[in-house]
Amino acid sequence: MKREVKIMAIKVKSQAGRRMLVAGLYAGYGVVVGALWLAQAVSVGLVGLAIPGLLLLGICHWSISQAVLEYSVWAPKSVARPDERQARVRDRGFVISYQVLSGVLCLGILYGMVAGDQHWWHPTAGEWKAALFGALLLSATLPSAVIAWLEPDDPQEIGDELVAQQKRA
Amino acid sequence: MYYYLYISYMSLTERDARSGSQLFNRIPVLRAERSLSRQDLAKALDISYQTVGYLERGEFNPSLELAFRISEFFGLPIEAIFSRAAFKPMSTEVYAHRRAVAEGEQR
Repeated sequence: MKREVKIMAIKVKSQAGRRMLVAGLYAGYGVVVGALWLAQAVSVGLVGLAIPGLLLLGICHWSISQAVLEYSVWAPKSVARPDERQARVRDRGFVISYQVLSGVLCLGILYGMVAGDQHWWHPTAGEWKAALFGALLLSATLPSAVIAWLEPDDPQEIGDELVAQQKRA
Repeated sequence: MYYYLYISYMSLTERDARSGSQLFNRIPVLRAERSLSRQDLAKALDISYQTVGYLERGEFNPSLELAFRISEFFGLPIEAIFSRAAFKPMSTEVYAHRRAVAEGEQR
């Protein structure tokens, strides 16, 4: 988390920066869903509106995965393998993601069960497919987004400066 | 379910503190005595330097294996580095030890 990621010359190192990326990721997600819904409901030509959303989603997801790369088991050799604390943080990210994802899926299934009886809006087969693709996308992006959102900033380590000064002297 | 979500959301430190399993350690003092930076210690222990910071602040309890590696690195028994109760300041302990030795000699 402490890896510094540059996006368009903006350094993303702080928790606030990472949280902005997570917000951007899910804003992009919303734009894509909205554009596809508009394309279906209003005009097929509006499907092009999904492109900026996809771009935002892609850039934010790439930046987040770079910012939390040291927590990943698939980190390249240039990045050290996660130590036991980082592995615990990563596991915690997966646990929270699982809980959120299973909650969302349960609500969706519950709605599907009740909507038919109550004559509420009922998704078509195509919409169910879209929702499942959405859930797949969510499952792919959620663990790193959770870690990026929750991990605090590194506090300033003043002691190291003193040791470095002693060594220079 | 919400309780489990809340427990997961809590940081590792909060969870350790809540379960009453916080460990105290002397790593900052031992590291300073040897004029080691966090980077140096992290390299020697094969962990990230941020993890050294978390250990020093007592925000992360190491595994038994890491605790042994730390103890081997400093050449001290584990109980000299980690404790379940807060350590007294080193100056207090040194002074108490000197006083005990002096009293022993007087007898």
